Amino acid sequence: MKKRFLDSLPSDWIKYLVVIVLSVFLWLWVFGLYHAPKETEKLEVFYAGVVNDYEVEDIAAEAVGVKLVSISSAYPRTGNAFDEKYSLVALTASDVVIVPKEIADETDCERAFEPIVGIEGEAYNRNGVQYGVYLSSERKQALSAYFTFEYDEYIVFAVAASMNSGQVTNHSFTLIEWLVG
Amino acid sequence: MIFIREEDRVAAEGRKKRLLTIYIAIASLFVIAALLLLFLSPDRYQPYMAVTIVLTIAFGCYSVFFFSVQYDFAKKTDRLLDKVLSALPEREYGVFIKELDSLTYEGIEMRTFRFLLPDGERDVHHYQGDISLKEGVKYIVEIRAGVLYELAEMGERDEKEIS
Repeated sequence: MKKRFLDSLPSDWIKYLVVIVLSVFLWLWVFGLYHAPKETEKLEVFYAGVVNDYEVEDIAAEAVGVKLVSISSAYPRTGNAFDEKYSLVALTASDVVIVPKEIADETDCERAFEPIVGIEGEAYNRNGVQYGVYLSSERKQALSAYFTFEYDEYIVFAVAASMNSGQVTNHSFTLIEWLVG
Repeated sequence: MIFIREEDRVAAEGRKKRLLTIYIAIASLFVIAALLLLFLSPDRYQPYMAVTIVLTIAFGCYSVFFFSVQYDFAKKTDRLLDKVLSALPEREYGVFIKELDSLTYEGIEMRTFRFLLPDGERDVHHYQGDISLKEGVKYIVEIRAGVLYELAEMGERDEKEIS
């Protein structure tokens, strides 16, 4: 049998190679898929500005107790299709949004954001309902290693379309609590 | 001397089935182990994944070996014996000329003898059993499907009977 095996190698080595390569890629994909965070185990954050250090994602994930926090960003008002990104990414696909007050004032908060109750910090109200919390200057200072704050005032919101904003979990509010300190 | 018997065919068929049973058992164990490793893996799953990959490579290589070499050989042997035992026998006398290099016949490497038969030279394959033939000696050969089934040295009485 050993001789037959050795005789078969010149024609069959490619099959062994394919098996090895396929095994690695197949299980990388299957394990990745199986352990991919569910919608309720991850948080998407939209930041209107520049992110300096994405290490904040891991810190925030640990603080909130979710598997993954990922931040997408767009710099406002530079002709880089910010408005499109803001309406498509921030208001529909994200859980938490951090934007300057100028942007917040132009947003239909009643439809886009979930009212916030019981989080300490300066409230951002619309028609008597609190939708956001201002980032204090101390918190901006503390977070400046990770974010560039070019505007005077930044407000944090919980996106109404997110299942983490009270529909299934309250992770969005936990993250806001952590952000505003 | 008869070289191929019905028992050989039965044994070859049994071996083929046994090999397949063992393969299915190993495949089942592999599938169970891989699924357990996947479903029991924690969030930091890298060690579990590494073990699964190693198991898969081992099983995959065994599968290639099994279907290309081990089972393939058992299947071809079974088919050859089936073919030989169901073929019409050709009983001839012939002079042994020489042994050729081993040749593959029906996917099985076999010794090959060249005989001078009444209708000309013919290469006959030898499946199993030790024999040493003398060049220039007359033999009675029974050939089935190109394979030597039976062989006997030819005596004077046989020669008279055939002539």
